[in-house]
Amino acid sequence: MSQIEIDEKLHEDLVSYVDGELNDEAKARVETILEESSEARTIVSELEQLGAVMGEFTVDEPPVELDFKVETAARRALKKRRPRRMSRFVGPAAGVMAAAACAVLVLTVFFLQNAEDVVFVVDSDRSIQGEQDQGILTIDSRPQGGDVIIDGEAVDRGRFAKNDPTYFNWEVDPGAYRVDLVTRSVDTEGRDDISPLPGDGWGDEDTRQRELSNTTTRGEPSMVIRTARMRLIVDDLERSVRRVEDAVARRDGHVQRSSVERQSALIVARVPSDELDELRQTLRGLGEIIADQTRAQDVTGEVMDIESRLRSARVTEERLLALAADRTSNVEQILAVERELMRVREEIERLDGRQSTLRDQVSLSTITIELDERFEPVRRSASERLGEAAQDGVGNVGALLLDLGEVTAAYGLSFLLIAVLAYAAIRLGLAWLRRRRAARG
Amino acid sequence: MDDRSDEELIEAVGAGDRRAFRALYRRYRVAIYAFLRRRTGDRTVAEDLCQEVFMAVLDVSKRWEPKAKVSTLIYRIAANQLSKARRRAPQGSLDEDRERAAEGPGPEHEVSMTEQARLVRGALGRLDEDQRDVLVLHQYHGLSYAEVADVLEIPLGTVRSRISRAKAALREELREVLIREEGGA
Repeated sequence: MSQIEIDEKLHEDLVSYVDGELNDEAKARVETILEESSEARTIVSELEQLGAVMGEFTVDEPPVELDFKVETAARRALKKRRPRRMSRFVGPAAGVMAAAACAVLVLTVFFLQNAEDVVFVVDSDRSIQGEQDQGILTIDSRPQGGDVIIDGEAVDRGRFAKNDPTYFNWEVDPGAYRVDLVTRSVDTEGRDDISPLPGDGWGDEDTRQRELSNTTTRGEPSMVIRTARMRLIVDDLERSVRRVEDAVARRDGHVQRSSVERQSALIVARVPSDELDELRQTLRGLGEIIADQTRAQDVTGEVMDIESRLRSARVTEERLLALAADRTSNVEQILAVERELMRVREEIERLDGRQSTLRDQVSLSTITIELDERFEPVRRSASERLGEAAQDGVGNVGALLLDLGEVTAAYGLSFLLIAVLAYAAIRLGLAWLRRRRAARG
Repeated sequence: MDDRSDEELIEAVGAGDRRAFRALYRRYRVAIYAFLRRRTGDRTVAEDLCQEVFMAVLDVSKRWEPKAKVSTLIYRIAANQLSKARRRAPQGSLDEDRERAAEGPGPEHEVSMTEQARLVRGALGRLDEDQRDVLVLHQYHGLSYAEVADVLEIPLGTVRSRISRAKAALREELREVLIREEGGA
């Protein structure tokens, strides 16, 4: 019965049997052996006792300090990991931000479409850009030395920023405004302060009529030089210039000087004095009148004085000629007479020329006509403004990329070198810290 | 007391749940500490290793996949940490059980330990390291042979033979105790 040899393999099976690690087949085989072998039964018995005896060896509970150390270390480690946990919120946060951005965009479009705003944009050399925003009309780029006319009224210069004469703000009510620019300034009194004509006498129509009604004390008609200056805003500059030239020609006048630029023109014309008023009346129909000024200069006294001095000079000339014809005079006397005769003749010529000029100026009036083409305000829709803003945005991105490219090209290698060195320094520093902590721990 | 399973807990730890870690730690702290304490024989070393084990668990939790049991994973980590500690430590310094067994009962647990327990401790200390590892995991931590094989990453047959040899050695070492037990019974 006990002839079964307990070899290493069987011992393993007996141990596994006691430990409950055998499958049913192996378990049945071992149980058969146990029935046959007393030695096997003894071993199994000892193994079971051994299990009971080993259970006596227990160890203490881990100390509380260990719990504290482990949980503190874990808390620190998890704290470091927290930013990664935040990443799960990045998506929803980005969604919320995108939704908010869309809402802002929609609201912006809504308000832009419903706002009674007026946007003035004129692209030209003398461009203005105006934008009404919250009741403030902002105009940039005032033409140098020129004026801004809003609904026919010149803007008070005091409104312009002192440090930037091309910029001003004007409080306006919501609505449409016409903004015009003129190349010359008109002050609030209607005086031309940029290129004033010589002399004085600009005035209103009543003054002019009074001047024209004056007569000399001797009952002779007054000698009056009349000049006029008109400034108009016209819709079609080229057509208006042609109409001015035609009107002048129809009244037996002529254009003395003409200068037509892209959006303005200056015409100086001469017309018979008695046609001046009719011409002005005709020109008023060309467009909007910004200035219509006349000047009357009474030169009657000067003309009469010239005539008197001229008569006197001619009498002197006749006498000197008589002296020069006298054969009894010696050479010195003859030379003295001729010198005096030359002076008198020069005086006669000068007086004669001045008289002709005055008579010409009296008979033909000079009229200076300034035409400025109207700057039509351009009303931009909200979509156009957004489109322009988007184009600007794309342009800005392009500019930014270009700048980045330039910076990269210029400093890329330097940055790379610095980054590599910084990275190496940080790694070395961290490694040193770790070693130090480990040494302390 | 957290009712979540080990798998749920470690998954939560991977997501950064501090309470889950605490629950998992509380669930295994005694077993792991005991394993390390028995295997190193040094309370301080066992505490340090225990902390390293649970920090490693924390680290592994981020990439944990439900392929193995959590308990197996933790024991495997403990076994690995123990191996590393043995490699780092001077020869034999972590075999205190063996040394104490040779020197006789040590002072540390003299009061609390019974004579029988001291004999068992000494006998365990005199076992081969490999045999002792498998035996302790199976006998004191309730791991099946397969789980021990998994933890120590050795074949199941090797576990079986090592336990068999370890128990054979212990039967010889503790024969007097066993006879006494038998007589007492």
